[in-house]
Amino acid sequence: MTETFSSLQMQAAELVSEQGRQLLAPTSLVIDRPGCYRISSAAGAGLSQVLKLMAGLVHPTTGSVRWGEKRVDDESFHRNARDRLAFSYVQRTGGLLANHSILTNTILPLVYHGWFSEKQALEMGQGYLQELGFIDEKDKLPAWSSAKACKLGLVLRSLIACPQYLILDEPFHGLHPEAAESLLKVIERHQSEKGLCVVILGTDDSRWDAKLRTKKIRLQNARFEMLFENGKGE
Amino acid sequence: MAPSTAQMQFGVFRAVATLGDAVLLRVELLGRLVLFAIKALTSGFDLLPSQRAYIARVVRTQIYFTGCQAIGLVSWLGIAVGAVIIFYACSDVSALRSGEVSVRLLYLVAVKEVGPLVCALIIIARSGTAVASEIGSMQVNQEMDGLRAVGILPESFIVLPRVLGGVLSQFCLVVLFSAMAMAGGYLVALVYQPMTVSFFLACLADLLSVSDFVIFALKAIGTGCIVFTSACFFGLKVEKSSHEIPQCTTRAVVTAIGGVLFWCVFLSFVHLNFLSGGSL
Repeated sequence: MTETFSSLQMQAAELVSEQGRQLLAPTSLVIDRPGCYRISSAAGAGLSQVLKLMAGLVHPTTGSVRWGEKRVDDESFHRNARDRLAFSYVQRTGGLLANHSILTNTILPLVYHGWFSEKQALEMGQGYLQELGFIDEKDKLPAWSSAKACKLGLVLRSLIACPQYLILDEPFHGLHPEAAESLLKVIERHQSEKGLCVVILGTDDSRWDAKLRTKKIRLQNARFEMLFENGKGE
Repeated sequence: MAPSTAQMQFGVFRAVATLGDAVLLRVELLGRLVLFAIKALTSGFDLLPSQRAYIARVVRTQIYFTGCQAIGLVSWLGIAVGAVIIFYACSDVSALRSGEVSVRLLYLVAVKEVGPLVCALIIIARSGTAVASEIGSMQVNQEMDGLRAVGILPESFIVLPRVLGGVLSQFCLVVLFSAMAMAGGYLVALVYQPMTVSFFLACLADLLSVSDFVIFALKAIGTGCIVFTSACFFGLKVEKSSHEIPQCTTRAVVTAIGGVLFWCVFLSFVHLNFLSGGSL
């Protein structure tokens, strides 16, 4: 059974890059579910690394990051795929397996973790691809697919496993407005139906990010600042 | 001006320190590789049935690329090595024209020593480089982060099937090489010393022992493990830039060659001195 996580907490978490640059000063932050958070910073501030820290892909130099009561730097936690998949991270570029087609990439977590049979997972994946308008690229390898198919396939691979938190690194960067609109609809549906909490990194203030945002956080001088809280469509 | 005693002592001290550093570095690398292999292999115990089925698919693919696609090359090399050994032995040493001695020589050289080594070098060249560069590219393309983000551990999804598939392939290739070397050697031996197949096989059966088989298996499995562990280990060392891929591939190849040579020599030494009582 998947545990329900109601919060993502950073407790005096500090992150220092391998080059010795402080990306995040000791910070405490609580991201409650459900909700939508948009984090921004100046380009090159290391926000992608901070998102990876939230997603448990990078460990804090000091302090801790917890999902609910569980510390994410605990190795055994990552071995529990159901808990791990409650927090999904989508990087800005790359990430799809080069030797798997767009469709098999998309359904990989479902098939690998045995949550659905391959046939069921394929049907589910094709449904999503149809909805997002790139079903014609389902059998192509990422290298032969359009940038749109790669980007959407990457987000779908995380979304298809029904995470509780979805951490997205510039999800709409380089996407055609039409494709971004379709993706937004799918994310909004998961938000309303499944209580998904979305954390978005957006260095540009595009209108797509604005549609989803409810709470805006800025990373300034390696510290978080809560800028404002408002409703959808601010 | 001749160096003083103090200077000479300092020079010797520095040479010993440099040598010590080099040895320590290699011991540390060996320790890391062993731990890495243990972590990858033990990750298989945590897998669910669906995950085992997926991994088995990747193992089969690895066997196809490493084992099946190398069958032709290994067969021809085996025949050539067996033929050349017998050709030179029978041409130069009249004593070796005896059928029994020819079979013995062939067994000692082609099967016990050269087979595992040649096959390991072939898979280093064909598959070790491919695996190291493939994993390096996956690192650059952030595929590992992508896998971790969807709850898939690269140790079990990437490393384990490659090491398993590689070891199985290497074992089968060594057996194939040995069989082909014996066949090639037999055909050439016929020119100098006509003998029946049954006589040839009987001579071979006399030579086989349990300790020989154990050492043979250890050489085949160990070399496969060294090649693929090293390829995966150094492939995962790539961080962000594609220029790191050839560097890490080269390190994987060099480490694998060194490891394979050391392992084969070590096992031969153990076999000769502790298992066969010093006799061949």
